[in-house]
Amino acid sequence: MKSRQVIEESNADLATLIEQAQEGDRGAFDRLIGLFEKNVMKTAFYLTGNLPDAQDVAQEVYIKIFRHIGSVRRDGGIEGWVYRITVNAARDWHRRKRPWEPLSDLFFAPARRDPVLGGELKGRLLTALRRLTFQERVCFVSRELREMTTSDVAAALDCSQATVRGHLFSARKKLQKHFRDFWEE
Amino acid sequence: MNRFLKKEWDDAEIPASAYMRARNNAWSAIQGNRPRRRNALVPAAILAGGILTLVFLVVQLDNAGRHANGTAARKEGTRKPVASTSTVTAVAAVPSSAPANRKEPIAPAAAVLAGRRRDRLDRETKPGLNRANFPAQPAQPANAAPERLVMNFTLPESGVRVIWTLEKDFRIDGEMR
Repeated sequence: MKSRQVIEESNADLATLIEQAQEGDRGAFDRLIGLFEKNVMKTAFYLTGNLPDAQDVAQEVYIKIFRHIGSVRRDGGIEGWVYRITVNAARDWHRRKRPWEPLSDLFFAPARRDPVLGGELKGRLLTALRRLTFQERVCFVSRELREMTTSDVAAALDCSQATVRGHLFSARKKLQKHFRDFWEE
Repeated sequence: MNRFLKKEWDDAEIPASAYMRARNNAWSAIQGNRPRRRNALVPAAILAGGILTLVFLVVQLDNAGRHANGTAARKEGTRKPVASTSTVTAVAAVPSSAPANRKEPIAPAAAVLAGRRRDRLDRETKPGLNRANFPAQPAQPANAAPERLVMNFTLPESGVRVIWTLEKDFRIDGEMR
């Protein structure tokens, strides 16, 4: 993937970037975050289902990246680590989600004003993803959209590959049913 | 389906302002400033206001219902007789103006006389019923008039009940002593 290539190619510069950012260089911080932000924001967007929440999740991820990237082993894969903290931040968001937030979504209709949700199909995809459990959503987004391997997803979620396959199976079943109804309309 | 979904992932163009805002908030938090969070108070305040309005309306409707019931009860109360502290109560049934409609036959005179005879025989044969066995009651003073006289009249046909309450000091010509 592109971000992996960037990180591998600039592996030597990464330490310099981190050092400069930790000294308070805003440009170095932007370049550091720029290595991961597209994947972080997209993953957060598909896991939370709306852009404002995705921004909150991404913000938490950026802070963790800044504070802990120096202690991450480079050979273990920074990208996998970033993905794991993104999923964990989204899980925290999911746990903190207040019971009235679905009501505010209903009343204020953020999905319609959301610039990312240009078409009806995209909105339908997000609606379908909301029907999945959090684990199913993570497995589906990781495996089908980000095209990660089952072993990578299992390592990121700290569970077995069989568990990932089980979540993936039930997610596919639910989405197939949802989209079959959609195409038949 | 997967191709379509993958295309959605690739085409998800998130505006640059969203990236910038997340980065700025993260940088502010790292520098020690409190990151700007979305205002979650607005929907919560609107929801709370709605709930309070609903509770207020329910309380108002409940009070209105109670007020209506109370008025009705007071109106019913005016039809009820005043609680009496009378010492004498006279109950009389107003005879019907149409005696032809009476269902009970009038007892013949012979039957009435036979009943009186039977009562006299009972008094003679049963010593408990003899007048001599009862102690003499002290005579009431002449001026021991009741404080209040309540008369109940019930019309047998319509069931209408008329209650007259006469005070001790009331005179029929309307003067008060």
